[in-house]
Amino acid sequence: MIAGQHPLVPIAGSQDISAIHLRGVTAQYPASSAPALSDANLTVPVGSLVALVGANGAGKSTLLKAIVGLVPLQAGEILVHGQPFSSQRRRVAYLPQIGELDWHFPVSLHRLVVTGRYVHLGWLRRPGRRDAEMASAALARLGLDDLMGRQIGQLSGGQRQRALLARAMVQQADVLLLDEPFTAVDAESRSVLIEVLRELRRQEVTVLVATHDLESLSVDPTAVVHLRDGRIDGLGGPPYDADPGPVLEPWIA
Amino acid sequence: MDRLTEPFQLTFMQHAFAASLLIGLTCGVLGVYVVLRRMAFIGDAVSHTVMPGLVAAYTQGWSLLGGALVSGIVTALGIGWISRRGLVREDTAIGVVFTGLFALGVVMISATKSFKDVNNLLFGNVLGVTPEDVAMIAGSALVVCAVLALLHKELELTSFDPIHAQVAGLNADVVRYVLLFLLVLAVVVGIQAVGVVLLSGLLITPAATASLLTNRLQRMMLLSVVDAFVSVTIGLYASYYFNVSTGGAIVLAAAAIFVVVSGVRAAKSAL
Repeated sequence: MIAGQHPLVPIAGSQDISAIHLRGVTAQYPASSAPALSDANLTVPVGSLVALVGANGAGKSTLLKAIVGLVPLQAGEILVHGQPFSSQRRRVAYLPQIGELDWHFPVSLHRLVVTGRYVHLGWLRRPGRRDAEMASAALARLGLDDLMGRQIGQLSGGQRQRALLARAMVQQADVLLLDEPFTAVDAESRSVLIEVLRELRRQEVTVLVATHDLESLSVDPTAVVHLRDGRIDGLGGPPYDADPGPVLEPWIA
Repeated sequence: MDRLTEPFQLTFMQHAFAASLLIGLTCGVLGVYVVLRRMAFIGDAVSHTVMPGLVAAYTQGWSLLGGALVSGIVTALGIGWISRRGLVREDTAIGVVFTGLFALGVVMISATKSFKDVNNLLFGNVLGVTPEDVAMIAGSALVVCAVLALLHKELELTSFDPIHAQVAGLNADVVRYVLLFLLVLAVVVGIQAVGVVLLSGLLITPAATASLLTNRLQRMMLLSVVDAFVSVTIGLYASYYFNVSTGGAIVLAAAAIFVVVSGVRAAKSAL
């Protein structure tokens, strides 16, 4: 038995299968000469909130992108609920950094949120009334119902982040991957985002959040994973001490 | 009033008008995606790279649409293949494929003797369309509009958030190739009206004008088509009464509308 391959210690009330499982993952962008993530091992139990911290270029975003298949793997494997991501798409909501969307495109806020339903619709099927109602409800929950008809380019940074979270909510996923959700966020948006994150945690949604600023998270994470130069460099349980504890069993090769 | 209806007593003008409206519809509606997805350069490239296919079809008596489709698809796949391998950036890849195939077209033209044919390819000859051409143009317009309607959700999402589309299992590359295929169709029919050289004017200018007027996608498509209709109509009348190039007059009309609209917009925002 290879060191570190001990079974996951389940937390009370969760299933035996981990929400996310990375084993020996090395990932590299096609146009790049070096891997952006090297030999990463991580097990995230269902219902936990894991913060990925580290400097720019440390591999936080790459780790999230690798989970949803946006970066090709050179080695290792990633399982979501014990299965490959391609069979688990509906259960995983990924929030990109807001700069990765074209906000000038002529589409309304409501329409943007409806796109969170597309993973359930697949090709050709059009969103129906129920999808529209879910989008309206999510926008109301995030305090954006007044802005539903706005073109997305007219939203502030904080409103854009809230819009992306609303879109993730209509997907009704139980794994949520957030890439720098507090960038360019005003105080009002921040408190709404945090409130909704707490609510999702109570619903046993597994959350992975990449942030360069742990202070801004304001929700106690189950564990903190430190990344440096594309490697998992260390981890801590609450409140960010060096001891992983029984909750999280990542392997550091 | 007679001067408005007079041209349409003539059968060839009726054909030209029908063809022009259908071309305006095709290019106007598709142009909105070309503008919003910043594919203007690709549109220009495709219109030039269909040249060798058109010349071959012209001289061999094959179907023009077939010839252009084959070379257009080769272009689309070639650009995709070269830029996918990451050897050069996409705009460089397009530049290489674009000029290479256009040069092949020029060499092939120079080997034929007919200057009139060359002129038709480069600048269009909508006054010479046959009823068969009109049927072909109508078919292409139908395909373009049907696919845009059918794939509206996918086209819209991949245009502003291809990453989300990818994660949701809607392959953005598939959508891109579909759009390139539609672009080739629009180029092939558009060439009949304005020719290779001015094609991007018909594809891009009405859409650019519409993008100044609204930030709703459907309304933008509608305005773009209306603008294209107005432009082709002005172009046809101008060529009938003043004996000037139809294609030139069409694109000039579209450009004039763009200048007026952007001037009005600039004046409004200055106030």
